[in-house]
Amino acid sequence: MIKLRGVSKIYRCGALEVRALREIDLEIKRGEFVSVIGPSGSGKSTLLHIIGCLDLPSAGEYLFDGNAVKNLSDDELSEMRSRKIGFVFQFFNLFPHSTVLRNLELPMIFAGLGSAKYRMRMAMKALYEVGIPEKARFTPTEISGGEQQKVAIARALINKPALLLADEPTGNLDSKSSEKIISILKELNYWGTTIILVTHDEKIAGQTKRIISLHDGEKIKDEILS
Amino acid sequence: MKIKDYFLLTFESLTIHKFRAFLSILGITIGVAAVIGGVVLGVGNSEMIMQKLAESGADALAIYVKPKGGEMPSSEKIFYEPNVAATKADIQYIKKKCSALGDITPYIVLPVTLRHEGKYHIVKALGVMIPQAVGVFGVKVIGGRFFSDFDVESKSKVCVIEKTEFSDEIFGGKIPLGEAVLIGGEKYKVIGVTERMRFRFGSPGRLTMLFPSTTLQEATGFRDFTTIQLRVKKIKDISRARFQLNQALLQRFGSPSKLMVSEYGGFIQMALEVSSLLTVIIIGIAVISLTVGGIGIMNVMMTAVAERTREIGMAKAIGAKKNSIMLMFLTESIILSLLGGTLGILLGLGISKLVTLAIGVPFINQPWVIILGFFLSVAVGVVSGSYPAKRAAELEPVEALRQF
Repeated sequence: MIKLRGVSKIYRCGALEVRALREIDLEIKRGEFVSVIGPSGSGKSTLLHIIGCLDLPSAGEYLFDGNAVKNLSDDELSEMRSRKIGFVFQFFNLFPHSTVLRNLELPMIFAGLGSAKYRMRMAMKALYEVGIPEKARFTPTEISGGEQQKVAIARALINKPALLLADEPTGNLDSKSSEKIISILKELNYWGTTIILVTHDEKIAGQTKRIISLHDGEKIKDEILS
Repeated sequence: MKIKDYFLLTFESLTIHKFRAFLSILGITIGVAAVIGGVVLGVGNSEMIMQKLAESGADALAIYVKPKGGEMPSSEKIFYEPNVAATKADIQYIKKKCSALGDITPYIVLPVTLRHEGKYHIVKALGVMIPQAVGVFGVKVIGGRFFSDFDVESKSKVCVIEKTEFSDEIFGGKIPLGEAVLIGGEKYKVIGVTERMRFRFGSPGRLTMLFPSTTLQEATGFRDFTTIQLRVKKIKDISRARFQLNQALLQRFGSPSKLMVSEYGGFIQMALEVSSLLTVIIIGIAVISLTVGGIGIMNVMMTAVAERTREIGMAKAIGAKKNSIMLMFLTESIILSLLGGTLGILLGLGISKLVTLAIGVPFINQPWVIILGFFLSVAVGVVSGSYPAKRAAELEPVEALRQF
């Protein structure tokens, strides 16, 4: 599903050059549950952004489902993010002024999907799946962090993407909420969603099927857990 | 993204900062109100000037006999030898040729003697046709009646007196309505009194008395008319009407013609220019305030883009296209300025209604003014929203997400 060959990412900040990723080779197959670990600044998030088509590599090649991402237009990249990839962030990144329901509707709105009625039904269904249907009319600021992250996961999944990318999804949550989120992710993976999870918590990484370790933008370890 | 979803999201985001949205549209509101007010007042003002001019007889042209030696004939000469201007056929011809002309009425004007209480007065006798004379001369009967068809056909010995200071002088304030007066030694019955008419007639005598044209023709022996009085349809077309008239006369009578067309007051043109200058000034002010209003909206949109940088990143992460982001912000600025424009239209119409009531100018509301108001506000919205929208659309998703 995902194939990276010699992918590097260099950020230029004036005269300063930051090498966020160095020659990463990586292959992830459909149905995998991969965690990416490493200290802050090791390039975990950059890798996730590149895989999620939010950012393009400075060098190297990235193939998604066999297609070279660098050949895609801006709109095609949006289309990929809209239909094939779901994002979950550490800070939830929900639209603060919109209701939970509207937040869940947005990916469908951006994808030009469905009538308002259809979208509402799908959004409610997704809320049932993450177990907080009663929060539909609340805004993100009115619900807890754990609930916000559940909404974020529901939103990431609403257009049924094949790939779910989670950037420190439990980084801002207490341990109880964290466990809940991880169990939701495991459940999703069980039903076939490919998941790439960035974390610096080894305990959480230990619950996935494969751990990729990054250090200073280099892949230093890639182990498959039994 | 679907069109209605743009509106859905725009209204949601506008309700977040209601007061700010309100402040940002004030500039547009004032600008559009100024445009509407300027146009309505300008149109009303020039309409009022036209009305006043028309009431004063400035919309009239007359055809006279050209005086010999370039001078107007002396009054003595007319007294004894009235000039004959045109026949009925000439009048038909003029009517056909001159599209800018409205009512046309030939008349006879000549001095006659009125004997009242033993004194002789020279008065203007006006032989008029009905019904055209009423409109062209501005006859307003305030006592008795005007001539009937019967009066004209039977050449009745009747007359109508114009009430002015001269009639007061001669009759001592009491016009002998229903009584007979002696004119040129014959008795004529006074059947009506008219208010002061719209203009003066070129003939000796101060008091004006009107007669059916046939009556006067019979009494004087003239078969034709001395003057043709014409009225333009629209006062602003008066120079066009005069041109048409001159052309028609040239074709009809050849050059040099014995006839001439009266001058019209150059002040009509001047009044029109002053009135349109006023409109131009008001519209100039309106354009300035619209520009300021547009800058206000642009400023608010720039703030919104800066504030929502992170949200733009989020939207892109969950699949929003560049164009969608751009259209979202553009929709927002257009809706803002449309709201402002709608308020401005209402405000402009309201204020100009009040002002017209206060200063006595007619309130003339034209649909195109409202359409103009909407058009202007959409234009301001597009112009001032484009740059911020483009900025928003071109944000890099990763950069945008990094913002806090």
